[in-house]
Parts: sequence; C-alpha cells; structure tokens
Amino acid sequence: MTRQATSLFEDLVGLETSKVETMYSDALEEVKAIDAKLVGLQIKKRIHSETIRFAVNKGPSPPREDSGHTDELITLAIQQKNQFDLCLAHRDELVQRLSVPRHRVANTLSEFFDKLTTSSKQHESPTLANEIEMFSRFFELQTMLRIYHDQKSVVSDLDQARRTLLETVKAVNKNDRRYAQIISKTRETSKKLRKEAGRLRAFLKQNKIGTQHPMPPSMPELSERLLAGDALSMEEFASMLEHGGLTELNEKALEGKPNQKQALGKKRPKNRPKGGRKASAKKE
Amino acid sequence: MQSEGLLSITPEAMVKAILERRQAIASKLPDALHQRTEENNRAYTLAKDARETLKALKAKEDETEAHKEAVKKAQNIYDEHESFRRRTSSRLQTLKNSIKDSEEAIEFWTNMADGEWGHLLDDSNRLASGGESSYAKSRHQRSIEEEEQ
Repeated sequence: MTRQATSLFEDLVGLETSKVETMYSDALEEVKAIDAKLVGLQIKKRIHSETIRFAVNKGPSPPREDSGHTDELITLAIQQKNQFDLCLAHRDELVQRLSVPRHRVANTLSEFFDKLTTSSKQHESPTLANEIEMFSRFFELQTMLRIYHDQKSVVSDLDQARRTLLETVKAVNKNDRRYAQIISKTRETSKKLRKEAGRLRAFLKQNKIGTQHPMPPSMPELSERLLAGDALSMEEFASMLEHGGLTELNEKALEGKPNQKQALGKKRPKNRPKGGRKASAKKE
Repeated sequence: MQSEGLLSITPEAMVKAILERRQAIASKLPDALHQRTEENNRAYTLAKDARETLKALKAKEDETEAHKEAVKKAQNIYDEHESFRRRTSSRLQTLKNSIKDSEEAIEFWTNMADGEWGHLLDDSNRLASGGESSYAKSRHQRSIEEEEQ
C-alpha cells in the first residue's frame, strides 16, 4: 500500500516509446534465451538423475541416448555400470555353480584331510562309510578351491568395477547437484527478466492508452486516506489492483461497472474460492 | 595344512595316508581287544557271583530286619556289577565292530590303492568339466521339492 504507482515506471518516464519497445524486445529475447538454457539444463539434470538411479539399481534402464546433452561422464558411468553388471553376473554364476564360499571350502578341506589322515583323540575315528564320503568330498572341494584360484580375477574384477563405478557415480552426483543449483539460479534470473519484461509491457500498454488518456499524477492524499483507515470506493480499489496505485482512476470511474468486475476478477487468486475472504472475515 | 599344500594332494597319496592311519589303528586293536575281553570277563564273573548271592539270600525264609538289610545290600551290589558288565560288554562289542570295520576298510583302501577310486571322483570330475557341485545340486533339489510342496 505504501508503493506509489509512479515509482514502478520511474526510470521509464521520459523515455521515448521506441526506446522502451527496444528494451522490451531485448528483454523478451533474453527471456527466450534463458528459457532455452533452462530446458537444456533440465534435460541434463534429468539425464544425470536417471544415470545415478540406473547405476545404483533403482532404475531399470539407462537414460535415452541424447547426443546433445549426454556428456562423457554419463557415457562412462553407463559403460562402467554395464561392466559391473557383467562382472556381477560372472560372480553370481560362479557362486551358484560352486554353492560353497571360498573360506568354507578351505576350512572343510583342511578338516577332512585331518580326519582322513590322522588319528586323534580330538575326533572319533571315522567309519569306512564316512571315509568314502569324505574322500569324495575332499577332491570335490579341492577342485572347488582350484576353481576359486583360477577365477580369482572374477572377484577382483568385480571389486575393481564396483570401486570405479562408485567414483564415477560420485562425480555424476556432484554434477547433478551442480546442475540443480544452476537451474535454481537460472530460474531466479528468468523470473527477474520476466518481471522486467512484464513491467516494460505494462508501461508500453499504459503509454499507448496514455496517448489518449495520459497517466494521472499521483494522488498522495488518497494514500494518506488509506493509511488513516478511510474507506475507498470500488473504482479506486479496482484501479489500485490493476496498477498498484491510482492510475486511470478518472477513466475507470467513467467506464462503469463491467470494467470494475473484470479488474477484480483478474486479480483474484486462483486457489481462493469465491467468498473465502468473507468467511474468514466473519470468523474474525 | 595350508590350502596350497592341500591342492597338491593326489588320490593316490590320500589313499596311502588313509591306509597308513588304518593300519596304525589296526595294530593297536588286538591289545585293546585283549583288555576289553579281560575286563568283560571280570565284569561277567562279578555280576554272576552277585546274582547267585542275591538269589541265595532271597531263597531263605527269614523275616528279620537284618536279613532284609542283607538282601537290599546284595541287590545293590548286583545292580552295580550288572551295570558294569553291560558297559564292558558294549565296549567290547564296539571294539569288535571297529575291528571288523577296520578289516573291511583296509581291504577297501587296499583295492583303491590299485587305482579303483574313479567312481569316488565323479563329483570332482563333473565340477572340473564345468558342471555344478554336489552342494549346488542338492540345494537345487531342495528348492524344487519345496516348490512342489
């Protein structure tokens, strides 16, 4: 309520309309450029987020190939994830085939060897049936241990693939957060530019009308009335809503009721139901 | 033994080691059998004597407290000796089974020493040629049975 209508366009008053129009078209161009940049950033952010989800098995598939927005890091992360999946499949296949963990193979092998070859008071001497069973198991476990030795690279490759992928995902995540920050800043810039373009457009619109109906001078006495708590007429109020001040007050008063309603309807918030204000006023 | 050493053990070496252990155990068995037999004979004699004493006391028609006390005491001695006899008899039987098992085992592993262990290495050979281990097979079998239930 303390804002003056004229202060909104203070810097524009006195400028030529063509100059303001140029400023307006420049602002529009900037908004367009920022919006295009924003779309690009959002696509990149989405690709980064989807890549992270894919890399940590939260997403079923990698992001779609988009040569314009996919950078080397994303391609690398997808390649590393595929490599990791491959290593994991090899490891799972080996584990499923052998079904006994390496440390247990080594322990049981040693235990069977002792039972079969040494007579100790610590364990009862095995029966012939047990010996036959242990003999067979011993050589099966020996083959298992040999396979584990031969396939040592399966486990080390998997560890390596996991570590590499983790590092890359960390980098992707860092970029993802960086993009989020850039998007937030760009949105703020876009908002400011839109506001400025809106202001210029409003000025131009007003100025066009103003050629026939020049902008009225400020009416400080009305502000004083408001501050003092005096009531405003519907025309004054509608004019304030539209312009943030009391411009066109005289013209509105002449145009009549339909325009007043239009002006009121424009400024009503979308979410607030009609009469919502009245209901809250009643409560008070 | 470390796993590296265990990997170098061949079936021949294992059969030989088993036979050596078996023969070492078998060499001690005759002495053990002799001891157990003596122990069992002693226990049998004690139990037999105690049973006859008890039987004789029970045959007497005497209602005095002293007699009842003597019967009770004889009964306890008999129970104790009979329990000992059963234990020694069981130990003797276990040893006899061990001797029998040992003889069969020595015969079996002696045959194996001639290179007849092939069938004992089926699981190992299947695994070496890319198949599943017996552990994996039994795990799959269990899961199939559970699904069927």
